[in-house]
Amino acid sequence: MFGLTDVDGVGGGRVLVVDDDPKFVRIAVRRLERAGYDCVTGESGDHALWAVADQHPDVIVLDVMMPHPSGIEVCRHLRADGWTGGVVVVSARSSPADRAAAERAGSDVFLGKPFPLDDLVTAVDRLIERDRRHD
Amino acid sequence: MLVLSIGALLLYRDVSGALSGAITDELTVRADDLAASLDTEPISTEPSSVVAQVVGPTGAVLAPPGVEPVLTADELAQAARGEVIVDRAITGVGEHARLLARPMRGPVGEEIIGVVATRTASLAEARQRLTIVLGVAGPVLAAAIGAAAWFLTGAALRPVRRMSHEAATISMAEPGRRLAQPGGDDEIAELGRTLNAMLARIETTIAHERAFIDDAAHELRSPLAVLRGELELTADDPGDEAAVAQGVASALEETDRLARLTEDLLTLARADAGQLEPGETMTELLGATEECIRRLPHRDDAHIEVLGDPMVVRGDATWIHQIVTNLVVNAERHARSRIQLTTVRHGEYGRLAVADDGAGFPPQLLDQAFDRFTRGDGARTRSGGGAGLGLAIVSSLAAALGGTVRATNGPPFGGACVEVEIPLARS
Repeated sequence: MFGLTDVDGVGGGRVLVVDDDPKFVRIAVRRLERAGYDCVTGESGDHALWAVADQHPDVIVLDVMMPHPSGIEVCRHLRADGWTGGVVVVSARSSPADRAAAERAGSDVFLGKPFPLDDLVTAVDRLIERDRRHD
Repeated sequence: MLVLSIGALLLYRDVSGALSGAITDELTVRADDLAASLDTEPISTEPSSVVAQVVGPTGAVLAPPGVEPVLTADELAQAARGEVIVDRAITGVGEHARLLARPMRGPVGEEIIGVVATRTASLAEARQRLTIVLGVAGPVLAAAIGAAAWFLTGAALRPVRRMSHEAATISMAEPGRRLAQPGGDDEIAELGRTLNAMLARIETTIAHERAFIDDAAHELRSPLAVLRGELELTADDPGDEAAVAQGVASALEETDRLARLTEDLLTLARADAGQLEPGETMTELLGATEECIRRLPHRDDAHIEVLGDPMVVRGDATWIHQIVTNLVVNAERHARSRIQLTTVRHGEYGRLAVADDGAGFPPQLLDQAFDRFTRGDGARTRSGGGAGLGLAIVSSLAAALGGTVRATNGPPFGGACVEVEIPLARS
């Protein structure tokens, strides 16, 4: 995990936004698209797993409390399958225990709702840059 | 120790009194014998435990002959008036002796005085021994009893002390920790079981409260996240009129959602604090239900019918409206096309039943249908659903009115049916 400081918006990557609240999905997508990202969306854990295999996103923005499987379970499943893309977990539950559970599941960034949209862009930027350095 | 001392004194008094009484009784018997045998038997001069004399009014010994009188002049004078008992040294009897003298009638009716005396050395010895025993053995016995009591009390209370120390170290940071259960089936073991059961209840209550706070925080943060996002997007691009209009509309929706949630949480908080006061107002249940349905915006594709009998129940109309609203809103979320509300009398209650033709409650959730933040979709999804407080509020309002709630699956449509019973007004 790492902190968030800048909002440059490196762009050029694909981001999967998964949340069962369509309003939040719309808001996150609009902000990420403004930052230059190509976005795909999902509304459930099952949809997230399918979209990762089908849409090949660079980063996933995952809500925790969704219809089965939850965001944490999706993250754990992806890491167990060897998926190495970036995972940003967003949740209205943001206690230390919730953050620890997300980290144990293999997430890279945890954002507690409500958060500035710039923090989301910064997190995605960092993860995209990290993956590019590895490549 | 004081109790033991008082006990020793009482014991001394009783034993000493009993021995002394026995000696007096013996002298009385001997005096009776002497009186009875005055004209038949001569008084023996043989050594005996009891010495007897018969003296005349002047103190002269009449029998046995040739012995010194036992009575002093004062004793003689007293004996002439009635029975006298004296403890003193008596020549020929002993250093410790008791005499009994009383007036009697001689063989020809003359006034004489019969005297009997016996040694009381045994009584003095017994008193001395008793004093030694009580004076020496008493403190030893008291010390032994004290030590035994201290040991036994300490042994009996040791498990209580251990449980007290354990209880002092238990905190909610260690959920599930319990006191070591003392063995056996005595009062201490019962105390251990009771304390552990209390810990379990406290833990359950705290877990429920934490879950409620977590759920409430989640439900408040989710609309706040959307509200903030909409405002940020609108501020970033104020020139896009369509986007601004959409953002403002969405922000208003989320504001309404937050207001409703806040009101629901306040209602539940008031219920928890016992501050839901129904007052003395009465409401006609069928009419209030029909009026509520008329006012309530509802799905165009849903057919809602209200059946039943008019009846006056306890509670303000606003409470009845809130109950009906929450039940119908909940039913509309799950109904395919039909919702039926019926009002019937059931004993001393008016029953409102709201049934829909949806899939019904998931069987595993039937028992939790009125719990807070319970939703039938198996997850914390918000698509098309509320916060999961509607039925909890219905339950709280019904309870405040002295009524009950029940959730079932079945008739009339095979879907969910929620029944609320409210006390009828007393005619």
